[in-house]
Amino acid sequence: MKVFADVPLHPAALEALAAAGAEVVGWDDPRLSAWAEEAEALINGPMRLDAAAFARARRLKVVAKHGTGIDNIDLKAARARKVRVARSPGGNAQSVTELAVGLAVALARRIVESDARIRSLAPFERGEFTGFDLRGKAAGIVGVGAIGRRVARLLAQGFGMAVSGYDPYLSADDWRRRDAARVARLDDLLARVDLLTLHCPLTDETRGLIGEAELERMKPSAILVNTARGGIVDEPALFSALSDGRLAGAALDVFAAEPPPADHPLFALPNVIATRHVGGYSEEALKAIGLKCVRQILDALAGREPEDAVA
Amino acid sequence: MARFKVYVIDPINRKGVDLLARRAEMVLWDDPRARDWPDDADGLIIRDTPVTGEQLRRATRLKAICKHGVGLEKVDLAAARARGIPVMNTPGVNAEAVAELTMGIALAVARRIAYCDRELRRGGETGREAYDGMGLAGKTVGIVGVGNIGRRIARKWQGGFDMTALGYDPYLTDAQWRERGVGKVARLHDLLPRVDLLTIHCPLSDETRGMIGAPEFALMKPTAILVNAARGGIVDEEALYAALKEGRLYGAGLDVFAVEPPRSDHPLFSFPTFVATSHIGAGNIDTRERCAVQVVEQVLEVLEGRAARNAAA
Repeated sequence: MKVFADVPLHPAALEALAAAGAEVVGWDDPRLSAWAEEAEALINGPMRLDAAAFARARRLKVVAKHGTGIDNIDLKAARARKVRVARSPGGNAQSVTELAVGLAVALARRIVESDARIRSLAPFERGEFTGFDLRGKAAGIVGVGAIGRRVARLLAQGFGMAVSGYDPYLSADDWRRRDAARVARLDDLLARVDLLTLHCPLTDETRGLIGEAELERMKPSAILVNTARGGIVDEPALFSALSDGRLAGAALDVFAAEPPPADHPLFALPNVIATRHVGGYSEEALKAIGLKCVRQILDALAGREPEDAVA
Repeated sequence: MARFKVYVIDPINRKGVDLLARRAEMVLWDDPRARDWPDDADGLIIRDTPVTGEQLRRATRLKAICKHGVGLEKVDLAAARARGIPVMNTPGVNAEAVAELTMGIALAVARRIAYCDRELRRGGETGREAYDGMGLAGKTVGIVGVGNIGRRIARKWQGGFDMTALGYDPYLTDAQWRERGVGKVARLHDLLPRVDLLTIHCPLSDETRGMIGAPEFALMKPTAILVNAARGGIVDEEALYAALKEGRLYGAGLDVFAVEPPRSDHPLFSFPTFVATSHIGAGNIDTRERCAVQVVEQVLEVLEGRAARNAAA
């Protein structure tokens, strides 16, 4: 059994594959480029799996998505070729939650900016990095699913924030089990929050969801965190809002094009924090997801139903 | 009845000024008359400007002094005491700001946020695996000094991250430990091996200087994180460097250094899991607003005949 992975796997997952007798071609192995010809199973990270890829992958039986978002996978093409696709919804939820909150505090308190300034030779004044408390402020969560609900709980119970959410797909019953008050219209949420954090998938509906008009509705003192998907926030509109002082700061773990180039216009701004799509990159999440991917692959290859199958 | 005259001789936030304007006659820091406060001030609000014994002896109307902040080393307390003038400060106002900063620093270290941002901007490492971090939920936080800030920190890590909070503080009674909801560990050296995050919230004193040094790092887990936003000097920076260099500690974040500001070539800056901020624990608009309002309230309370709150002399 030949398993390819276009994403680094936790040692525990590699051990489990070895124990099952699998030959593994990892993300940093030059043979990875031959995956379509040889792979029976693929543990998929960012690599795009379109119809052409599925057409080439004749031996492929199962794709285990190492994460939640499957916007890079053509599910119709997978079904047509009878390739099973499974994912790990919620496997990285706590990890993304902690990154989103870390980015929010880092923005509110200008931690990264202060760190960068100390390392540079530029002198600074003691009162220069004035921030604000999260406690008592209003947080808005767009997409209150597996991750959004954890962020809501953490901000409410850890930081004493008043949390509201926008999510057109939740029932009244779902809302009762969230630490976030329902706001029916995104526009109403935008105007009232001091922190806006995005936790929705990238779909036709959410592409460019936060653009010029939306940024215009936000308070100039507000901060924005996106650990969901690039493309949800319109980057040129964000750049002009941040440079005109219409938004206080933004932290992006995800970009329209990844990795973002070093000359990305947003990197010229001090009130931006950029990370490298590492929401799911914690020891705990990588281990849990890696092991789950292995289980899904072994189940599918043995003809059993993989957990969290989407195709 | 004539209104009280209060001098604010150092800048404070507008919210405090607005409150004072409604309740007293005031002279502000940018008014040339501000330096004449000993002539007719009933109340005096200060930040960094010294108050001398000579001024206090001339200030025959003065009934209250309040410092915006904590340290009173620039006020001649003996002279104030001799005149029976209460000298107050505003402790605890910055507790929330410091607590939140330490949490942000811990998360920035755990998830390599500052390092990642730095690398992306300089066109360095773009492989995601270079930024493998670690989670904090469900782990154990150790709090050294469980006072105003330490107790707040405990509640936050417990409430937001389901962490177990243990503490070391030789000055708390058993009743105080129970009320603070933090597990008491009687000896620092028993606390260190148990924690995934060690966060320092004690004052700098002869007792705490160099308290976290080589023997202490040797007792900590190699996966642990250290955060110090209390005072420089409590953590031995050379011992911290050695622990990080040898992989005996996951990472550290310091808001305070033995010498401030730290030099840009400080050896600690070589680690991806090291975050430095520039003593910004209280550097916060909310803190300044709260502090400005509180300093005005405390002075007015004394002028209106009530007991002095937070009086040092």
